[in-house]
Amino acid sequence: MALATITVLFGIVSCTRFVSDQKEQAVEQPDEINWQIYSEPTLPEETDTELPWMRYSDEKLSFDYPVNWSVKVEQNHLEIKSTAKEIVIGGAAPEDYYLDGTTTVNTEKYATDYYLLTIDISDGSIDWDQFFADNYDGVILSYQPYLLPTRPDLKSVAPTKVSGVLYGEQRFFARNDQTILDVSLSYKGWNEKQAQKILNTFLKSFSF
Amino acid sequence: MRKTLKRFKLFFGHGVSLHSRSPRHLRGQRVIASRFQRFVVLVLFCFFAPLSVSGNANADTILIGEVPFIAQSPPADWTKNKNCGPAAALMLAGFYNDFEPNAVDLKNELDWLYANNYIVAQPDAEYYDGNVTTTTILKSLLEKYFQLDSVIKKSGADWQFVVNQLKNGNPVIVGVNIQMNPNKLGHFVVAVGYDDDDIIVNDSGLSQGALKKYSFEKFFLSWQTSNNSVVYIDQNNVTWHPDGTLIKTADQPETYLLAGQEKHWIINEKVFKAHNFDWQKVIIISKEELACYADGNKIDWQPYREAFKTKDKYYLMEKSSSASTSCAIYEFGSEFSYVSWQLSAPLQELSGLDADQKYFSKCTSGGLLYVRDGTIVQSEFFVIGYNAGAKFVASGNGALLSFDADATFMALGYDKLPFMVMKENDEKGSYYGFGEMINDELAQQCFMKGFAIAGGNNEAVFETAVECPGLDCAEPIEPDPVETTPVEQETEETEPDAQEPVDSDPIETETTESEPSEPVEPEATDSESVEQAPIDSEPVEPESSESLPTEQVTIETASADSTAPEQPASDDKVICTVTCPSDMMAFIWFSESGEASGQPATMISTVEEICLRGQPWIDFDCACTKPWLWACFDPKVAQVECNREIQKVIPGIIDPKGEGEIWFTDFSCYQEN
Repeated sequence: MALATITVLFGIVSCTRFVSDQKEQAVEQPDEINWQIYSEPTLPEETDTELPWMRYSDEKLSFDYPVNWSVKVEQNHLEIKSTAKEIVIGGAAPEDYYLDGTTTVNTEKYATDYYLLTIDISDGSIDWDQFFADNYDGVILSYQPYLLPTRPDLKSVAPTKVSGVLYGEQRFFARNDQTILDVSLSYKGWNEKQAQKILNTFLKSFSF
Repeated sequence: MRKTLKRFKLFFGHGVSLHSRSPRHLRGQRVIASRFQRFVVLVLFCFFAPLSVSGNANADTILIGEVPFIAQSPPADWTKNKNCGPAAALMLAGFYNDFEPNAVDLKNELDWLYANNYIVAQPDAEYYDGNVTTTTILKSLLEKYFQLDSVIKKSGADWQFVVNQLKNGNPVIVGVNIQMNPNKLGHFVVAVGYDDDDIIVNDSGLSQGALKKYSFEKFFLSWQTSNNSVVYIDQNNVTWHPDGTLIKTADQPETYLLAGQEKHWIINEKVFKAHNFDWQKVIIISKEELACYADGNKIDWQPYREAFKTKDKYYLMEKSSSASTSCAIYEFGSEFSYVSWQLSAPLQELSGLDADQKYFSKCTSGGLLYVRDGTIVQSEFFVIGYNAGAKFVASGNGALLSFDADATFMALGYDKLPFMVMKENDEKGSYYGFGEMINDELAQQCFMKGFAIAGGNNEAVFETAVECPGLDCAEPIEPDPVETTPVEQETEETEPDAQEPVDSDPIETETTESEPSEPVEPEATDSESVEQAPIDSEPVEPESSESLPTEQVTIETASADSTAPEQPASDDKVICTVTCPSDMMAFIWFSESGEASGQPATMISTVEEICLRGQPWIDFDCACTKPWLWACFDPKVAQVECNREIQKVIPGIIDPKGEGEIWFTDFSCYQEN
């Protein structure tokens, strides 16, 4: 079962190479991301024993997260990261990102190894087409069902064709009747297996 | 909308103004005419009302046409692509350098960034996915790779700043987030316009990202996450300003007065102050424009001025120096015109008899003075032919020149200058008429094109020089025949001074002319007047309060602090630290576009760099960090320490409504050997 999980994850992460091959032939076409579709629920391995976990709970959300990790909960937005340092992922960096104006990253302030999970929470009364039109117009061109191994109860989808920036080592959208979750997982310096374990454990505990 | 249209028509005379511009660029290989046709800025329903930061109060629409678009992918793919910065820079370069960018251009750009160590390849990503960039990197990219000049990067900009650039025809790179969502990742897009509700950008993060609209609500929240950072090319095609304008280039300290369409070098700060010129009115122009003006006589003399009022009329007495025996009396056309001259001498209220004895009987008549040349005037009432709120620049001693469009007004840099509001009862006697309307064609003329002065044939230039009119002339109005007048010196020194103003020696000139061995004349023995006259102000200071509206300026004098500087004051280094309360962030702005921030913020610069502003000053502020950065600000709470002697001025002299300013008092930006 665990092997199946890993295989699926590699399928997702390796989409870069797949897309690249496609681009050699027709660069004007939108990216086609080879998102793997689960046929049946896949249970994760046991919770990572190396990381002690603790519980976060407020009137809307509750979830487990690794001890000493940073949690930021704002209205409709949740961030969990493995470091207290700032994380730069997008294409634009703040002025003090580099030291000496060159490629030396200001490691005192910015993380070079990190794990970042973000979840944007929005109204679940609209359908997927409307959601993508409202939030990812021109970016997500098509999508397919995507089954979360630890949360088969959630209806989830992942994009299959994109034509705009869509960062995240993993990207999927999950919903119940009231809420849509826009989930993004990014990491650098972590092995994929470890990252997936953490994500699965988190999702398993996530109540909203 | 109807009201807006009506106002626009009243002001500009037509409903839609097509403002064409052709970017000025170093290479100079473009065909200007084709650029006019290609890059069209549509300025719809423009008027001078300030734009609301909330965005939806914009009553105008601007779109800079044909800023080329390129998506940041290809090259590489979307999933880890971080080419938004290079793609945004490429769009600006394509606009100014007149080419359509493609994926190969983007690859070449990335190669250059890698080769010059600006970025390293992302691990686990394709090579041409690039990596994160900063506004500093984008500035370097535009300057060094694309060979564009006048590249400005700035943080803490407000929306009006962007609007002004767009109205000048300059697209602006803004730091935002993917999908304009402040919770998402950092991103650069190119602002190319706006309408009532949306900002219009070229968003390289989308395949179809050209002219993408985002609501102002989203944009402002997102832009805030980058501390409102922008990168743009500060370019326009202006090569002309009217007489009376004070000008300088960004990279040289020399300041000139335009008169007779010649540039008259104001040789030093004492002379500048003695003429009651205003640093706030100095317009930064391009090198190209500077080259359009022939060198006129340098302004190297310090007039001695007294002001008096009798029978509700205002007068100016001027001599070529305090020691001069000759004088002239000028009558101001109105109180408004008197105020526009910003005289530092105190106003004496005299009876008719006293005025006659002290001035009229001893001086010749110099004529009537209207609003001072170079003054920006905004009418508060309906001026015949123009609507209320119309703006003019005074020129030619009494002529008010209007503008065909808001964009033209801003392209000439007048939006950055203070202006005088003219009420209905100010009108009489303040001006004598209206001059030629300033439009693109006028603003883009270049007088030197017809002059054969190659090789520095200044003699030929002087033969064609127009007599410099009015008090701001390059020569004293009534030179004392006994003295060696500046005009006579000018005759002997014209060529070397005009060609190499930096090498001339202001001190020598100063000593010869401003420190006469003869005692002050009887009519100048009014001790109060003499003491406050600029000519006697010693030593040179970076704008003393006497020439400023003192009620607006609080000056704290500080000595070089032994704790802050690590460099000796004799060094060229200039180091300042601004410390704010714990819940605020300190900012220092210096030089052309330098910025330091933090808690505290520390600026390490040089005298040479500081003087790129023309004057030895920097500005600073303390900004709240909660609930968001710049939610509030207050320069008064800042603690400033420098390795130099300074004056802390709050509110500022240059921008009395803006940040605090630090004026350095132990060096001058004029060369005084």
